[in-house]
Amino acid sequence: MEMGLGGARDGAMECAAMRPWRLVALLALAGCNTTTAQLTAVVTGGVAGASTGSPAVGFLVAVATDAGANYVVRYVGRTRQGAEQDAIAEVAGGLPVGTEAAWKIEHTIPIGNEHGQLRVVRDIDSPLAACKELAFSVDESKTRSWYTADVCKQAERWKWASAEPAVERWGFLQ
Amino acid sequence: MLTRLVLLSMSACALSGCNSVLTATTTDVAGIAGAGVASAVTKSPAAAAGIGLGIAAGANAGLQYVERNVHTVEQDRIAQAAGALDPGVVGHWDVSHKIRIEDNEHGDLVVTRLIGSSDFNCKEIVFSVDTMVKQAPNRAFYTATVCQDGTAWKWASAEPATARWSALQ
Repeated sequence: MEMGLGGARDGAMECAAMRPWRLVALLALAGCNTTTAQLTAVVTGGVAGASTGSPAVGFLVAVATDAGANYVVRYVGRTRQGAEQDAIAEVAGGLPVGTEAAWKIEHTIPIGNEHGQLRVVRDIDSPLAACKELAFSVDESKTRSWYTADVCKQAERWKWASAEPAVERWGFLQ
Repeated sequence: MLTRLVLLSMSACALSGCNSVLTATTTDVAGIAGAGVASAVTKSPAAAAGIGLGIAAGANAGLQYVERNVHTVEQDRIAQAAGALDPGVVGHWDVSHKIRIEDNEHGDLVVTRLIGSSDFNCKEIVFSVDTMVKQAPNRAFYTATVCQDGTAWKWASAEPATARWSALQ
């Protein structure tokens, strides 16, 4: 996520007094997914350890909480990323080759909204499916970053179609 | 006990294909069981915690190794099927896993473009993953690139830009 260190730190400080699940939800939306699960686990484990007087119990609770919180953070992140992919695919599906249009995603909770331009560069013609290759930008206040992807029509909707990388190439990214 | 718990969680998840839960559960169970065993043999909570964390990390690495091997088989099967196809000809692919942490899958595929020169051969493909959703056939389409490595065709799509990856890790 693009959130800087300052943003992550501010978010954590605001949430320090909240219940752990609220901390997970808010930080997940704010995009601090690398620290959220562990932070929640440490908070929960610390409370458990203090209340039982046993550091070992605290550790066990922390490990279990870490796993659960990590799952929730990943689920929320994937759902939101999926919504953005759907938004881009929908715009691309209605565009002829060579034309350009704007795209945007506005989440129900307005954190992580993005927008940019989109251009269909090629129809991927085949007897199996209707697919398109596209280039899209993600526009920030001062920068515009370009990416490419493929979309295909599934039943009635256009969906993101770029498949996963080769197993050998995703080593440090999962 | 530890082995049984891990195997139980793996087999339960294999039926529903819940890889994320599988990762969390395996690590979780191994870590808790490891810490539990350690706390039985040492009176130091810190030592127990350290052993538990070590076992959790080891279990996670082991599971990731298995998952990668299993998924490589599916990519290899699709790449192999694509290698034999000329552009525009629809072929079929399927995979049956020996370890059921991923579903056995099947679908059609077609080569949409040839990429290459005198010293490398690649193909752009569109493939489907055919499933049943609520008793109705469902077909999802994806695109990828395969390239010829020696005599074998292998999956060649590189990873997404790291700026686009964050929510997925």
